[in-house]
Amino acid sequence: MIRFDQVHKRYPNGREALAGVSFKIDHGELAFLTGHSGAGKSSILKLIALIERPTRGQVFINDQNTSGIRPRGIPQFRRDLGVVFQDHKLLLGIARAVVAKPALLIADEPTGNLDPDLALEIMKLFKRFNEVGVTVVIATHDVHLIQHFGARRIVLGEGRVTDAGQAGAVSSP
Amino acid sequence: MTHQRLPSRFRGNVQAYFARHAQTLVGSLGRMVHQPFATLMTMGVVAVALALPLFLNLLLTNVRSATGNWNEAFDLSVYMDKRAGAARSTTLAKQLRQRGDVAAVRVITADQALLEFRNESGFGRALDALGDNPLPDTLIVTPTPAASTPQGTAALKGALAAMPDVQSVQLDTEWVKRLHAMLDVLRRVVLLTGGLLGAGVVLIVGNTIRLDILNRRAEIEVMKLVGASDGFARRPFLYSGIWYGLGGGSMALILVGLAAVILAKPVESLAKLYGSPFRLQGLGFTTGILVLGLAASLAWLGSWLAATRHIRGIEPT
Repeated sequence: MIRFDQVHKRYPNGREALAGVSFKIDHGELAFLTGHSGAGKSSILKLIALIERPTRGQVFINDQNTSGIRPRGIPQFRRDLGVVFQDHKLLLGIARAVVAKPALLIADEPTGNLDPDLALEIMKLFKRFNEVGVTVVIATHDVHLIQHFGARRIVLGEGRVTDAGQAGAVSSP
Repeated sequence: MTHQRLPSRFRGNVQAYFARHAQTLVGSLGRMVHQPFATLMTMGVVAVALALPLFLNLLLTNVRSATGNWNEAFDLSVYMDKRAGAARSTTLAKQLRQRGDVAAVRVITADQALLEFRNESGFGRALDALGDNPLPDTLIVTPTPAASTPQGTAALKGALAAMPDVQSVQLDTEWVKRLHAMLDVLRRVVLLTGGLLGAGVVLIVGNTIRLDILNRRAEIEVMKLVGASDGFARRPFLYSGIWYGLGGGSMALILVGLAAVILAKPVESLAKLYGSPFRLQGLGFTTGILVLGLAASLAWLGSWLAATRHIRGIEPT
């Protein structure tokens, strides 16, 4: 479903967000991307959503190399993707995911500004998406939530995968 | 089975496409209604920019229609030899009335001309000092409409000049030619002004749409994040542009209509002083539709330029 192969991402300001990241998430998996701020969680989601492009390496979504997707094809690509971001985009993203039933749902710190009860409800919603076959990737640093759901955890640090968890992941060198 | 499904699916897609357009059309209008002051300001500027050339064009059209047939209604002044006498003038007038290219002939005798000149010029005493009447008998010859072409009047003038006892023939069309030349210049001024102000409409609407896009940047980012194409994100702004154009165009028509109403009476009075039944003509229905179409097109162009340029530059972050 998702495969990162030696992916590097350096932003125009010179900051290297990802330094040779490799991992794989299978179809129907629920995976958490975790790590401290600046570890590269959001950069991975942006690469999946084609908001950013890798500086080096390759990203495959549904066996399709995203480097082959031209700017004109990005809207169509994103229509098949559920994207849930923070703040005002959160509810919109969830609502759209409910309507569009995407095969892949990615979420960046979806519970960042929510109280614990609402955060838990939102996470249960993601879990329900996953139970009906949607691949769900959530970037969060909320360790309690991750432990509560006991799903796969891909740990990032300094732009590298330090622990890819189970399910065919490949750690960065 | 597939054959049955395809047309209904196609029909569904078409219906959805038009439904989305209708939704955006109404939605963009609703958004503008919620900002009445800003919307009216923009429409007002568009209206003024359109009303000026429109009003000039209205005046030009009216002046042309009022003077359009002057070229064709020209009288020729035939000045008789003073030695011919009044009887000869009357005979020649009768003779000319028989011609196929002459509609009417009026005789102004030297005495009538002198009396008229004495009354109107204020040089009565000076004329008394002259002793003899210096003015000749004059025949005012009106050509038939068929002979009122430049060639026809020139031929008639030549024929009259060749007649015995005719001293000279005058066909004074120079000032009409000058008037029409001035109207041609004015027409070009109207075109240039219209072109410049039309470009102004494009820029005004473009700038308004640019600001609107900047205000809705976050919304556009989210739209793109969930797969909206540039065209989809651009659509509401194009409809806003069309609404600005239609609103501004309608206001321009109202302004010009009001101006025509205000001017109608004075123009009619002026025309009456010259013995003309001329009345100021307002803008017709067709012209109104054309103006609205033009206004909507210019505003659409402005919004398209702004939206295409600025929406392309907005990407989710």
